[in-house]
Amino acid sequence: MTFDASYIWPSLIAALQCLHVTLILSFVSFCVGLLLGTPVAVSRKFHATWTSYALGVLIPILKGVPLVLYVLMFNFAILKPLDALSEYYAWADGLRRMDKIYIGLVAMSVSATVMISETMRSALSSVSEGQYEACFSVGLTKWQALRRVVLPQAMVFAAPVLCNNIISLIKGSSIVFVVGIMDVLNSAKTSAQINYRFLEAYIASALVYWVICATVGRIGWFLEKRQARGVAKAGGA
Amino acid sequence: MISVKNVHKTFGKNEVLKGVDIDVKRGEVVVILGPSGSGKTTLLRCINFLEKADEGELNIGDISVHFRHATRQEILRVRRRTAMVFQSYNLFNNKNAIENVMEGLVTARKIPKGEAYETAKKELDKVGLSDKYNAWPSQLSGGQQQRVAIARAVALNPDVILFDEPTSALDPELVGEVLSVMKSVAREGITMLVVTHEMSFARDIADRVIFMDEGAIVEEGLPRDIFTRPKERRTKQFLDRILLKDEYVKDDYAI
Ligand SMILES: Nc1ncnc2c1ncn2[C@@H]1O[C@H](COP(=O)(O)OP(=O)(O)O)[C@@H](O)[C@H]1O
Ligand SMILES: [Mg+2]
Repeated sequence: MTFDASYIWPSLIAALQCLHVTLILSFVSFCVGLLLGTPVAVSRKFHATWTSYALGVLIPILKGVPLVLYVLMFNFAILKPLDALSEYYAWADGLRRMDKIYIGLVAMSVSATVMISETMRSALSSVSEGQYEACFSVGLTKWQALRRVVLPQAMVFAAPVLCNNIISLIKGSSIVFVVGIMDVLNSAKTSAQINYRFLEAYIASALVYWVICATVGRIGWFLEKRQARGVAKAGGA
Repeated sequence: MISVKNVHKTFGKNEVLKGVDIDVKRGEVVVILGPSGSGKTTLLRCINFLEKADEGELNIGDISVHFRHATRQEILRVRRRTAMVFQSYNLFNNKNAIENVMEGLVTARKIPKGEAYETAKKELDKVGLSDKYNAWPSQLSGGQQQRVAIARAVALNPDVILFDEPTSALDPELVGEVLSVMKSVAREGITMLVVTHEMSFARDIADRVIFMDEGAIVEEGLPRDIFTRPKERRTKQFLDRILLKDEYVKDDYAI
């Protein structure tokens, strides 16, 4: 069977029909990751309580787990109990038959939290000690210092890395096909099952990923430019 | 007004402060001199709780705290009565000049924004930066940054402003503008505790000079007395070295 570009089109349409799944998986997990990863990073930076020590042990371990394993593990951990429960409860049965996207969301959110907490940790350490001391010297509390001075500056350092983090999540989200979630890749692949035009289907989904990532990269570049005109200018000292 | 008693601080095995007592009266300008490594910075940082002293007491206004046992609340109260001017300016990099001055007023003191803005404007005008309200720290020279930092400190109307070598990081031609701002702050009657190597400031402005060496006060007195007839040999040696260097600088300019 030779390559035939005309088969790309139907696969592309199939891929685009599941575009929202890929977008939800990557952007929701990114938001969760930012929301949870930032406090994790802050807690680890100040290592003030036992939680920060626990996180200091936990995060490096979780960092070494590939995304595909999170997906498989959560698939197992969530579905197994539901299987048992569904014998007694209708809602469990309903949940079990539901679209598995929520499993992908949980798995990807954990992975994103770990990834983004590391991004924020290194961004936090790019802010000099003098900035904290200036805050304290005018009477700000630690939290006020973080909110008003340190985090805004850390975000400037973090922005380009966060942009790369989103792109990793978008590409990484394609792994959810292992548990049968219908995202861009899986949908394109399935569309090829009738005619065995897999190569064309792969190319179609690659195109979709490429366009999303290029768009995100472009938005990131634009935001950086805008920041560079204001706050980031001050990042020197 | 502000007094510290028996301040001790040790870093590992290095005993940096060995029981320092200082008493500063309201409106007084006290200059601390001493060779590098004698513990001057550490002393100022302990007063502001940027460093936690091992031993000693602090009285400021009606607040009285023990350095080692101070609660978070007490530390905050002390910090809201004091201000600090750092050697490396430490302006908030994400805020422009006027926001730098407003931050402590608005966030720490809960002063309404409009009022804080007026205060900040007034203080920036006083340090000669009326045209730089909206400048970012990176757009300002070292001297201008340090003047913003001084405005930031004065705006808080603290009981005392601690200056840690405020001109040491500056290019020589920018030292003058900062010193003259400090002189006008002193003339306003603001209490100042100043670590500096600028002998002219110590001679002309200080009410009292303290000479520190190896973590302890060696001698203190009126600038006139310290400069013309120091009692201690160590003070004399230090002054000879510093004044000699000043002399060389003058000679360099003459050439
Ligand atoms: N954070 C610190 N950790 C360990 N040693 C320190 C620290 N800060 C200062 N020191 C030491 O304390 C001594 C006094 O330093 P410092 O107060 O900066 O002196 P000065 O300001 O008079 O030059 C020096 O020997 C310095 O190495
Ligand atoms: Mg020093």
